[in-house]
Amino acid sequence: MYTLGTLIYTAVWCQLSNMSYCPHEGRVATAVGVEVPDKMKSRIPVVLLACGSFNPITNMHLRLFEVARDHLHQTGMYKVIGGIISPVNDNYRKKDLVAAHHRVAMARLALQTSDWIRVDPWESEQAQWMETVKVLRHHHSELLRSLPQTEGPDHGRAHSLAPTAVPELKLLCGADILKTFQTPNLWKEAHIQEIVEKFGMVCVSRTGHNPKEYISGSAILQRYQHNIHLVREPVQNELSSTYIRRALSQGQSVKYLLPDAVITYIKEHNLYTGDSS
Amino acid sequence: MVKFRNAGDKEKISQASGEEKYNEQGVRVFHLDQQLQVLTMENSEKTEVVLLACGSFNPITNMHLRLFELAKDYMNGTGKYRVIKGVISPVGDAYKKKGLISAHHRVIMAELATKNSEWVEVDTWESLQKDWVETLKVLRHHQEKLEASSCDPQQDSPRLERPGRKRKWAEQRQDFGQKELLEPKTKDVPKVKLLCGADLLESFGVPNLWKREDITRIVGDYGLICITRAGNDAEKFIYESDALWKHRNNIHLVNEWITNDISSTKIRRALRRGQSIRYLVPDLVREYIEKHDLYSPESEERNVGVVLAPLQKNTAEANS
Repeated sequence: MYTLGTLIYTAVWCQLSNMSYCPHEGRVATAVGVEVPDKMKSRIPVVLLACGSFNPITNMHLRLFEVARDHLHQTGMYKVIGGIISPVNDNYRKKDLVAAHHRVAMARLALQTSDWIRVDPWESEQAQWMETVKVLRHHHSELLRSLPQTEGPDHGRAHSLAPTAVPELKLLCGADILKTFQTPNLWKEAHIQEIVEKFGMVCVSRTGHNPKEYISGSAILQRYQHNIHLVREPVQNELSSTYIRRALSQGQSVKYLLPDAVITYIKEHNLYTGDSS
Repeated sequence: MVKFRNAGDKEKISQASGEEKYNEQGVRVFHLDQQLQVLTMENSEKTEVVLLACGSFNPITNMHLRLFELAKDYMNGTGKYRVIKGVISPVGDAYKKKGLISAHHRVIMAELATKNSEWVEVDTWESLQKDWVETLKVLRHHQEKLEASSCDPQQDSPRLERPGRKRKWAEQRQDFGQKELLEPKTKDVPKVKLLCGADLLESFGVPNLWKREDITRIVGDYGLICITRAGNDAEKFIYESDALWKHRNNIHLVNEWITNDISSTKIRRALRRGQSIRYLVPDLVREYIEKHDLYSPESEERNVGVVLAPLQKNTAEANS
C-alpha cells in the first residue's frame, strides 16, 4: 500500500462521496452532508475499479459494484467512496469487440442513475492496449492528485478532523479472473504481485468457479490473500455480455438484462446485429 | 399441417420441416438459443395469445419481467402464435402467504415495473377479490373478458345462408371449402395462456395445493408456458403425470440456459440485511420500496402460523 502521509479524512469523504452507511441500522442512507457516525470515520476509503470489455455493459456488471460495496462495508473496515468502469482499448482485439466510443457511451448511459459509479475512457483512449496494472497505477495517482491539500485544524468545519489512511484503489472483478492468473503468458508475474500487494482485489463469485482453490494454488495469491476479498453473490446470475450479443443477433429480447437506455442505444446504432462490424 | 404416418416418422418429419423437436418421451422441446426454421404463416392465421402470470409478486423483480420476454420470443418464434399482451395478476391478500405485504403495494410496484413496457400490463381483478381465487378462475375471467370485448366472435359466414333455398349438404360443404381458400379466416378470439416458472409446474405435485380437475382444465382448456432452467426435470415431471402428459401439446417448455435467480425471497432478505437490490428490480420499484419501507423482519412475519388459502380450502372440501 502506498503511504504518503496523513490526510484529513472527513474532507476527503465529503468531497468524494455523498453517501453514508451505518451497518447497525441495516439500511443504506443516501444524504449529502449528513453527520458521519464515528465508526465510519476510521474506515479505509476505497475506490473500486473494474476493467473489462463491457461489450456491452449489463446489469451483472453493475451488480458487481453493488455487491462488492455491501461486502466491504459489512467487514467494518472499509468505506467505498467511488466506483470506476474502465472499458478496454480497441487494440485488445477481442473478437466482436465494438468500437470503444460505443462501449464508453453505453456504460455512461447505464450509469446515469448511479450516484457513485462513473465510466472513465482513459484506458480506451490510449494509443495501444495496456496491462491492467498500468490502468490501476494511473487511476491511483489520479485519485491522490484529486485529494485536497492537508489543512490546519481550524477551518470552521462541523466535524472533527481525524487523520486517516490514503484511499485505496482495488481491482473489482469476477472470481474467474483469479483463474486466468494461471494461464501462461497472459499476466506478468510481477504484475500479479503488484496488483495483490499494492492495490488489492475484490472478487465476486460466479457459478462454476472456486476462488479459494485458485488462491491456494498460487504462492503469490496465498501470500496476499488478506488483500483479496472474496464476495459471494447470493443471487446466482450467469448473465454475460456473450449471452446478450447472441440474443441480440438472433433478434431476441434483452429487456431487463441491461438498462433500457443501453438497449435503445444498441438499436439506434445497429450494434450486435450479427453482421460483421 | 404436418401429417404423421406413424410414430417412427414423426421424429424425421418434424426435424426436416424445422418444427418442434420431440425427445424420447415424445414431449415437445424447444431450445431458445437454437434457430429453427419457422413456418411462414399469414398473421391472420396465427393464434393470438395473451400471457397471464399469476403470483405473489412480493416484490416484482427483473426475473418476473424476463419471463414475459422469453415467452413472447418463444411463442412468436414458433410461427404459429402471436403474443399480443402480457398480464400480471398479483394474488389477493387472502392468499395468506408468509411475508405477503398488502396487495395495494404489490400492484403499484408491478405497475411501476411495467411503466416502460409496451405490451405487459397489470390487472387488479384478482387482487381485489375478498376471498382467494383459484388460478383456473383467473384464467377463465380473463378469457371471458377477451371474448366479451372481441368485436366479431366466431360465426358462420352469412354468405352461406340462402333463405328459402335448400341446398344439398355436399354442395354446402364444397361451397364453404372454396370460400375458406378465397377469404382470410375470421379472426379467432385471443387465447389466454398461463405463464410460469418451473416452480409453479412442480407445485402441481404438492398435496392439496391444486385441485386435480383444475390442473387438467388449466392445461387442457388454456395451456401453459413454463420457463425453466432444468428442462429435463420439467419434462420428466410432465411425463410422470397422466393429466399433464395428455395435454403435453399445450405445455410449452422454454429452456432458459442462463441462471437468473432473482427471486422475491432473496430480494426481501437482502433488504432486511441492508444490502443493495439495485439492478435486480426496476429502479422505480426499488425507490418505491425504500420510500415506503416495505420489507422488514416484521413484514416477513405476516401470516406466520396461518394456513395458506388453497391448502385450507382444498383440505376442507376434501373433508366435507
